[in-house]
Amino acid sequence: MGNREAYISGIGQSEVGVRLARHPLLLTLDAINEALADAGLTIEQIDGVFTYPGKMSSFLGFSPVSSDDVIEALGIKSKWHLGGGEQPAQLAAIASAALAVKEGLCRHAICFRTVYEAAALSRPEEFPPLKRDFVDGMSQWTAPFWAFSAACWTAQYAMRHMHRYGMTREQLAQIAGIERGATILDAGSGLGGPSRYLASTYGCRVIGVDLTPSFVAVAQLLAQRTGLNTLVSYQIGDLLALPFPDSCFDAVWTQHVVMNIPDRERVYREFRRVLKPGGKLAFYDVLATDCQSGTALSGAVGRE
Amino acid sequence: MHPPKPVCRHCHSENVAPAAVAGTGAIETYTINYRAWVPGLQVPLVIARVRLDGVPGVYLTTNIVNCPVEEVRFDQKVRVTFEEQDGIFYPLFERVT
Repeated sequence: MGNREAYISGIGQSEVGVRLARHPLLLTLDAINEALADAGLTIEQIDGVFTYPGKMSSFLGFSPVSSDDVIEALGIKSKWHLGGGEQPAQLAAIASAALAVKEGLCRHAICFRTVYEAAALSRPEEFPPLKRDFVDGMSQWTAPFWAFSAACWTAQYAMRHMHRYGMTREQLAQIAGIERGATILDAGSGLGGPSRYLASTYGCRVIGVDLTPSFVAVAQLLAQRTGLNTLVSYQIGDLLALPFPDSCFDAVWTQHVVMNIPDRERVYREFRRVLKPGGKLAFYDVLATDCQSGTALSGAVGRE
Repeated sequence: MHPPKPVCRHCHSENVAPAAVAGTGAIETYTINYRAWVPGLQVPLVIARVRLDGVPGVYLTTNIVNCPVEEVRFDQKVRVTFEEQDGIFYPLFERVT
């Protein structure tokens, strides 16, 4: 036990909508069937079922389907299943399934999360809404004041932070400019410090390009050492002729590089070419050298 | 401390008991909620964290009532007002004028 690797073998999603008539258990089975097809598995091979937060009888719209419901409905011969809310978040079901697979408690696990909140609102007899005078656990300190959602909790911290430090909504939105799932080009990546920072901070993919082979080699080594080599990669390349097709990056990041390139027009044209429409150029560079201190400017501009 | 527990989260003392607190405080932070979480809920409404006077570190998640939502401000002085519903008293807060 304990030597297995766990991985996600298939993904499925049901129909999504605010006025769905289809029963939430049937929606769950739709998603499971899609995931099985994606993984190339049959239901007979499934022996584990995991969900967050488990069926909530007090608030069926939030979680209307239990692991037992799925096991019963599909005739799964389950060796291990779990549904529970006292976990950090939705992804805890996947983490628990991975641990169960690695430890040999089961081999092929279904992980699901079913929500029916909007659809439930129009059918309160079948799916009674949460009542504010009958809650327990941590909800008893928030639900009576209609702070039902994590959005109601985190918004308060964000509001205080913005009030205290003067951060604007626009600045907050800029954070989303570089986000998980985005692909960033670090133009002139050097030893890869910024690319590793971006990948570890935002979970985005970063491709670094540098003209110097030894820099690229060291950057690759450091990425492996820091365990970031699934997110960052490096290659030798010339910024004046980037080895990428048009419109393939969400952002181009460049620091202390363009100042060394005489043909500015061509390098910026290349940045524009590889950026997706709406992509961003983030730069920090020395712009003037005719005074002793020089002038550094940083900023971000978007591609139209 | 709040919510109540049989042990202090800071010094782990079990010598804890309910204590009356001032019904006044100030708005530490807030958010304006526009979503009707249950049918018939009157929105927008203000969800706030009120820091109570005289008990540093004690905050209450509550609602700010009896004033337009756009008039709520950080650090505004507030006082408790209880709303009864089916025998349960909800500690809500309103501005001190």
